[in-house]
Amino acid sequence: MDEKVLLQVENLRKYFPVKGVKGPGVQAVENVSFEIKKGETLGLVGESGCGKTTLGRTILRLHEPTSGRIIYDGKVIFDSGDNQVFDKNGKPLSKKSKKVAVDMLPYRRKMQIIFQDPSASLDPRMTVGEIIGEAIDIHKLASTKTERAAMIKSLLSSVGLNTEHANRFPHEFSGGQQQRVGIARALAVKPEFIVCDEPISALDVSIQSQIVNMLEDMQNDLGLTYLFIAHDLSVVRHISNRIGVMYLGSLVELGESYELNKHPIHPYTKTLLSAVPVPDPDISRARKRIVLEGDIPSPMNPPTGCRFHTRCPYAKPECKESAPILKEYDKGHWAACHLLG
Amino acid sequence: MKNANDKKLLEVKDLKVSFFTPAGEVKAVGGITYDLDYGEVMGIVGESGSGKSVEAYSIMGLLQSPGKVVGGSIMFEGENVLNYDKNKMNDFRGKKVAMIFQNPMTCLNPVYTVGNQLTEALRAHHKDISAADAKKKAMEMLELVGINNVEKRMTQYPHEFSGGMRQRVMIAMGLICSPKLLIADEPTTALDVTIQAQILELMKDLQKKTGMGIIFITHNLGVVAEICDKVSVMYAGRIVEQGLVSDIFYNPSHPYTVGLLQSMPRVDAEEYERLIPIEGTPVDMLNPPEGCPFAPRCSQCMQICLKKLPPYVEIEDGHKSACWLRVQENMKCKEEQANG
Repeated sequence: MDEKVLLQVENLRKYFPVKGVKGPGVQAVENVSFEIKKGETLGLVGESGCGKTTLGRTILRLHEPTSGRIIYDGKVIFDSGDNQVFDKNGKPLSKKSKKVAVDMLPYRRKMQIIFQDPSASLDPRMTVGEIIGEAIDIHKLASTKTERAAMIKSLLSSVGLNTEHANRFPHEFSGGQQQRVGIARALAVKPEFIVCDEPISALDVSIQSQIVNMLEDMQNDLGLTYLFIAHDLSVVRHISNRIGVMYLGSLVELGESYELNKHPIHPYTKTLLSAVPVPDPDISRARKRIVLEGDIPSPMNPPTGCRFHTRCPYAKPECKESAPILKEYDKGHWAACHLLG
Repeated sequence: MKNANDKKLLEVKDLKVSFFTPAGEVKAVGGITYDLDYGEVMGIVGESGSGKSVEAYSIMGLLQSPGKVVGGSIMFEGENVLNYDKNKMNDFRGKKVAMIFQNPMTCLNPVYTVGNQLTEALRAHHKDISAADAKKKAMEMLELVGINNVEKRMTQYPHEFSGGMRQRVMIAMGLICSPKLLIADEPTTALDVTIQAQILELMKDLQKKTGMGIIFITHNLGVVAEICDKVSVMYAGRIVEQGLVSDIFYNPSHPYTVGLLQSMPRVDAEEYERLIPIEGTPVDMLNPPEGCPFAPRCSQCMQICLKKLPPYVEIEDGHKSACWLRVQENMKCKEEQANG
């Protein structure tokens, strides 16, 4: 891993308008900023509905961002044009940036995605060879038919499948094998950056570790950069260099994965960590668990101020009023919470 | 909390369930044996297709064609459930045994209010209860499972509840007739970890209050460690290892159990360790291999494993495992003892 930043996300927002409802609609991603270094794995965790999948897709511009800026490998691939830094009195400190929305086709070769449900993300009427070949065709990566066939074969064997499997249809494979096809398809264009959107949560326990190890090997061999989205903290911690914790569309904590697990500072991260079951009866029965009351609020009508204040056991009056900003508390360890001062 | 005539709550003996499909007989459950006492929580762990849900459905008499129980017995308080006729089964199901399912949304009827469904469950078994009493009891149950504002909640429909709240309603519905056994089929799999924690706390609490037995079906070993007293690990329709929760986690003796424990990243691990996966894919139940079903994926596979099913070996009291390795160890032990 070198220090070069591959992907930079600034103040990204994604709202989904809702018919017949006034206001911005579903505020799925709210003001998220982070960067990913080349060769790094950034994990994203959070409960369902916290916007982690939307964030991953918005970065790839599978959803068009509502506002914010995305910079990939030094080039701006999206800028909504209203990014401006203001001082305390509301006077603009910087010029309004220009609106940018580049054609994504050349970037699709560099940025890929692996989906959660392998059976739903493979076309049932295409053979595995056609599914992988389609990516090669779109980007014109093979000049002859034999070259194309050879590429498909080598991709299949690189993900641990038989080369004869190219003529089979997705339904002839098990879930784990289907996920391998999904990974081979993403790798077909030789990408640099892959969004792994819950790639293992639909798989059996004994298969999950096979896929995790394969993703790790590929990262080492091909120098890939991952954004790894999952709700299972133990897997995310295992595979990631750094972890971002999301709650209701906002990033509440960001830090080195082992540091974040040992010394979580945001109350939400603490509860999330204490809720993960440990496969060890003595430890899991002895430890104190913080059980959150209630459910995650609706992103259509998020709470004012800190979005976590309705469930936070330590909430103060000021948490209701203003949204906390993500601040660095320790080297590389960021959190957004008023309690930390 | 033993029964007067000292009968176990549930004794399953050599239960066999098969599905007769056009492609052939699928032996979904191939002879499993276990027992459960009052107040005990037993976990059944296994991958999808290992037969853990089929086994639970056959206790409830909910097996659907082409599934059929082809052998064994299910003794509930000394009576064989498999011999019950339809009327007796209807009385047994719900009143003595209740089941909660993985996905609470598909199990609640979307066109009836929650209150309606709760009282229906009660009145199905207590024909003479008055509407007012039924409502009162339903409200008590909702309060018991931690739902606030009960009066209003009773009149709401399932879609107005969140996932965790729906699972609470399911639990309330299951427990409304005070069953002695609760079968929970992956009750927290569809829920977020924070909600899962709430539901697990609730189930532990209710179990203490009511003293019922619980069969907890899951694939999550972390959940098992948290809530279960005993564990049965299933693979390809058979129990490969059975024991107390401490036996399974601290002294696993079947290679599949060992493999499962090694392949899971732990949230409390001190530093990065590469996972050790179980290679290969789960068994195709239409063409199961001869011999031990786990043999093709087992790193310690021997000649005999490919030919014959291993018998159960008692490792300690109540801890048994079906593996040829343990059989051999056992034989060596006996030889040594015989030689002095």
